[in-house]
Amino acid sequence: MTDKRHVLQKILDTAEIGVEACAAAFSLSGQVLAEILSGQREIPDSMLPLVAAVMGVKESVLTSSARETRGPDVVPAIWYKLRAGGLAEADREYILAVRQLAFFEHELEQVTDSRSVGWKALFEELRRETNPQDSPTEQGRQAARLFRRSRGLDQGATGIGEVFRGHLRNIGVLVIESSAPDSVLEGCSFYVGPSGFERPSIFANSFRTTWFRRNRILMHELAHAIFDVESTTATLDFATSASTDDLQEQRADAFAQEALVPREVLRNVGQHQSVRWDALDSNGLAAMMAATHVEQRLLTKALLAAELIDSDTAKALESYDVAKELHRLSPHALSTEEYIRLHGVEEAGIKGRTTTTAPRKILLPPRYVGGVLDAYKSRQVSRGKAARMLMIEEHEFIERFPLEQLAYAD
Amino acid sequence: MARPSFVFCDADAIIQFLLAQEVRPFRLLRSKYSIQPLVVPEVEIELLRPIRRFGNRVAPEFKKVVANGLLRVVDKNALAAHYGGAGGPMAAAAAMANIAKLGHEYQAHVDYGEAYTHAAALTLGVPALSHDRSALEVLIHAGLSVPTTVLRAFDLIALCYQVGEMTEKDCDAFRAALLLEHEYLPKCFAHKSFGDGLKDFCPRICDIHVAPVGSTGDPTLPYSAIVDL
Repeated sequence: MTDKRHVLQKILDTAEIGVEACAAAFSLSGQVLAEILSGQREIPDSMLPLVAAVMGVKESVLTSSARETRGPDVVPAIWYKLRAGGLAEADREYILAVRQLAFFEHELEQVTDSRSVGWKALFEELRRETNPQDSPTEQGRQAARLFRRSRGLDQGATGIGEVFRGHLRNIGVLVIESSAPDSVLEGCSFYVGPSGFERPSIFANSFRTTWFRRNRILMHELAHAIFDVESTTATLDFATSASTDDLQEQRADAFAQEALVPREVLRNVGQHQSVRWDALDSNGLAAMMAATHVEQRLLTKALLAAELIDSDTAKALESYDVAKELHRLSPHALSTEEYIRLHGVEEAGIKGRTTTTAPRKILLPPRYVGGVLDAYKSRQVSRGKAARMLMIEEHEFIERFPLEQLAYAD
Repeated sequence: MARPSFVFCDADAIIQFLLAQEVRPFRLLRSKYSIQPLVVPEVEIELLRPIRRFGNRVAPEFKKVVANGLLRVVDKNALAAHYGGAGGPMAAAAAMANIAKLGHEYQAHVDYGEAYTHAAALTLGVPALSHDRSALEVLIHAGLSVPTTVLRAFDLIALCYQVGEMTEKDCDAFRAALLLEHEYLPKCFAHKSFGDGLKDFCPRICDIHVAPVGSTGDPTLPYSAIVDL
């Protein structure tokens, strides 16, 4: 057995990933990968960077003939972590797709000379400025306040749900929101990318979660990316998990709350809407949600923590049915179908963003899709390369983006 | 360009021949002109993968043409035999290393298949067979070299017609098959029969011992040098 396939086979066995899913992540047919694993053919050297990045190993591990590559420790820790109880094969396949995307995003940045590493300095600053002796909740709050200030998100003291994704992507964090119906994950966080070019990625499962809830999930995962992922390889949050006493989870919860709805935002929005805290009704609560961009439960919790309401009021607020009013007030409360009916598919921003060749269908970030299209239109990448980067076939690229196609004389 | 020993074929052009079930051009190159059509491993892998648009029609046909030697996957042995003599293996290894180096550079801009096909054609100084104008334009835009001759499927069809390997009816059937599949056709054949379109088509490969066919318009693209057989 050659070292390449020895390593690959070991990772597949450890991670319990099927050959077909893995083949899709490498853009191979299942049969070709099976032949590689059985020694009937070699992986072309040209594909080793992709294979190494998706698997999370250094390229040298796949090219080295050194004896140590045969040891059990060649399997990256993330695959052990992802074998943990509760995770299904589908979850691992989504993670493969995200890792594949991270590799293509790296390639796009290389060819367009637009690599963003702002996250490194920011994360270091947040860790440095957070007192590890404080309670996990206080640590989360400190970091969130600093995060808001350093990114200018504290300006205006209003909801940041519509802007924070862009801020994170600008500093190089890979933010993915995609529907994963057969996944038990609500969110997760881990490092992705080729060796030496790793970046944090945060994922929120959009299946049966509202945009308001996903704001909290993404911020929660961001906290994990800042504090925990380096030491734990990956953090996984399940849709069914109840509240926990775990230090990391408490810190991440506090970070999410303070980053999204700190006291000054609550007070400012309340003032703006002339809210009487002791007489907040369901319509008033819906209006607060629409302005602060967070779900009902988190808003109530934040109001209580800010001592703007008492615990009896908090209980009452949590029981209000705000769906109808929120639906009226915020476009983010509309379902995708409703949004498309109202604003059209272009405005919905989902056109042309779903992958078809990845191990699992994921919805690509709009900024990434725009970046690939710009690179294509400015002749930095070819049509075939653009299609590969969007994880679709070339004919799908032509069908999805007819207006962007370049014309040739013959 | 004088008669080359190889033509490096890209997936898009091979797919056209396979869809139209027309392999006579490959056979002609091999038997009459001793030109071996080759593919790089990246193209082989691409063609063995199910392509949504064509279902599973391509991979089995591709396997057949490889099995009967009409197409061959490039490797050190093929190149060592080409260079011949005691230095053959060393020259082949050097060529393979150069293909890998160039291909890696090209692959930043174009997909694997195109990158390594053009890298191989350049390294060996032979034509490529590819329809991917987008890839060629991107490579030129990036200041990278491209092969002096990049053939289209219709160049080989025109050659077959010129030497009597295919009749006008056969060539029209090829065109019709591509139309049916919504495949790329050079503009002059898009709305005209093969015979009519040929008048405006300047073949990039022709047999100088037989009466020429097509137009003799000056090639103006950096990859449209004519191969004389």
